[in-house]
Amino acid sequence: MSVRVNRRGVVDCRATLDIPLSATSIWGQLRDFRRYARHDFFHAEMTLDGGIPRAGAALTLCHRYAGFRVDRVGRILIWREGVGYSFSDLSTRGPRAGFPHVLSYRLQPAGQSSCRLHIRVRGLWTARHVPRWAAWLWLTWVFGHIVRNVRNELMIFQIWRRQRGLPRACSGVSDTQTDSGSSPAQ
Amino acid sequence: MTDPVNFPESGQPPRCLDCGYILLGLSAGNCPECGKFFDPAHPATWTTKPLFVRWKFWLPGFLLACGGGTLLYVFLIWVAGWGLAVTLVAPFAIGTVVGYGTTVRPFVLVLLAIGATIIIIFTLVGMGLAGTFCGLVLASITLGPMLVGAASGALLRVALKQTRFQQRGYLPILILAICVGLLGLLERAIHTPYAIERVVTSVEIPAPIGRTWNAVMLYEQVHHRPPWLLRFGLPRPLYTRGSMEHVGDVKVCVYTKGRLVKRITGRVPERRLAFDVIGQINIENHDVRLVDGSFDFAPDGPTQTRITLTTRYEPKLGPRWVWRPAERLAVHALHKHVLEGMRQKATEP
Repeated sequence: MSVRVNRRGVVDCRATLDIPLSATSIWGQLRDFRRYARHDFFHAEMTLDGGIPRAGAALTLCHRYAGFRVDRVGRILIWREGVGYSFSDLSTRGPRAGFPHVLSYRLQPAGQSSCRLHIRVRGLWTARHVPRWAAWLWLTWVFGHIVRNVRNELMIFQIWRRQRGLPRACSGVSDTQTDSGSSPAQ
Repeated sequence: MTDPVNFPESGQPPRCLDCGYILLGLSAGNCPECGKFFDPAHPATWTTKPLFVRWKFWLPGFLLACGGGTLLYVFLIWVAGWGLAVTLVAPFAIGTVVGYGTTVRPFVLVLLAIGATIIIIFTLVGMGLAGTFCGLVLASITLGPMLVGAASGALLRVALKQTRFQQRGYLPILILAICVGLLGLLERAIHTPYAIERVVTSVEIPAPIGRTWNAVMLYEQVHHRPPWLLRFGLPRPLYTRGSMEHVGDVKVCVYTKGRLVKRITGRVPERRLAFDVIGQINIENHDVRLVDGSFDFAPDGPTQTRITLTTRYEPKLGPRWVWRPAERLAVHALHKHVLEGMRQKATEP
C-alpha cells in the first residue's frame, strides 16, 4: 500500500491485493457496487441513479461521522465488466472543493485461479491549512481501512466458497461478460 | 430476455444460487461464472441471501463459551469445590474459547469476554451454586484470567490458521476442556480443608461500659441501613428469636433465604459475650462455614469503651490469597455495621 500527497496537494493512494481466486469470481463480488463503494467508512449511505451501476450513473454519497452529516455527489466514471470501475466523490460546492477524488477498482487476472485487485484513490487535497504530513497520516488511515475492508470481504467470500466446495477457478462461462463503458445489460 | 431492472428492489443484491455471483444489472440467462440459469422474473432462480451474516463470526463461539463454560463450572464445583480450577483456570479456559471461537476485533473480543463472564456468573447464582456476594467477587476475579485467556485463544487461532492442522476447528477446545476437567479431579484428590480464618474489628464507643454492654446486639438486630455490600451481597436479616441471657441460650436469626442458629458459650457481664454457630441453613453455605464469634469489652476511661468483635469461619473458597481479601472486606463491613448499631444505641439519650 502506498499513499502519496505531493506539494500541489495531488493525492495518489494505491494498494494491490493478490487473491487466490479467478478474476471472474472476484468480479462477481466487486459488481456489488453499493457494498464496495461503501468500504470507505465515511460513506454511510448511497443513492445510485437508476439503481443499477453503469458508466455515467450519478450517485449521492451521504458521509456521516461523529454526528456530522455531509452529502456529496459523484458519478460512475468507468464500468468495464470483468475489469473494474471508477467513481468520483465530489463536494456539492464544486469539483475543486472538499477533497475531490476518484476511487477505482481494477482486476488483473494472474492465471486460471488467481488474480490481482488494484485499489486506487486519486484526488486533490484542498485543505491547504492542514500540513502535508497530517494529510498523509489521515489518508493512510482511511485508505488502510478501505483496503482492509475489501480484503476481509473477499476473504469471507473465499471461506464461503471453500465451505461450499467450489473450485478456485471458475467453470469457464466467462465469455458472457461484456466489456463496455455502458450498461452490461444484453 | 428480461430487462435487468426487473430484479425486485431489495436491501441485498441478487446472487447466483450456486456461486454467489452478483447478478444485478444482468439480463436473464446463464451466470457468467458457473453457468447456472437465472431469470429476474423468477425469484427461485436467484437469491438475495448474503454470503455470511455477521453473527456467524462471533455468536457460535460466544454461545459455546457461555454454555460450555457453565457446564465446566458446574462440573468443577461438583467435583472439586471452589478451588484453583474454578477460580482461575476455568475462566482462563472459557476466555480461550471466546478468543479461539470468535473472529472479531480486539475491542469486541473484550466485550464478549466480559459478557461471557456476566452470563456464566448470573447462571451460577441463579442455579444456587454461588451466593450473590460470592458471584460478584468471582466476576471481578475471573475477569483477568478471562481476558488473558481470550487473548491467548485469539493468538492460538491465528497461529493454527497458518498450519495444515485439519482438526483445529474443535480439537484444541476439546483438549483444553479435558485438561481443566483433569485438573479439577486432581484438585479433589489433593485437597485439604482450609485453615480457620479469624477476623477482628475493634472500635471505641463514647459511652460507659455498662451502657455499651446493654447495647450489645447481633447483626440481625441492627436496624439502621446497612452498607451496599451487605444490602446486595449477603442475605437480608428479617428477625431473631430466642435469648442471649444465659450460657446455653439459643438465638435463631432468620434471613430472607435461610437461618443461622447461635448458642451462647460465654457470658461475663461487661467483659465478654461469646457464641458458637450451631446451625447454618442456606446462608452462604458454598462460601464459608461459620464457626463462632465474640464481643469483648474493655473500659477505656470512664466514658469510653473499646469493643472488639471477632468472627471465626472455615473458608471454602480457594485459592486463599485470591478470596481472603474479599472475605475480610465483607466481614469487616458486617462488624462495622453491628458496632455502629451498638454505638447508636449506647449513646442515645
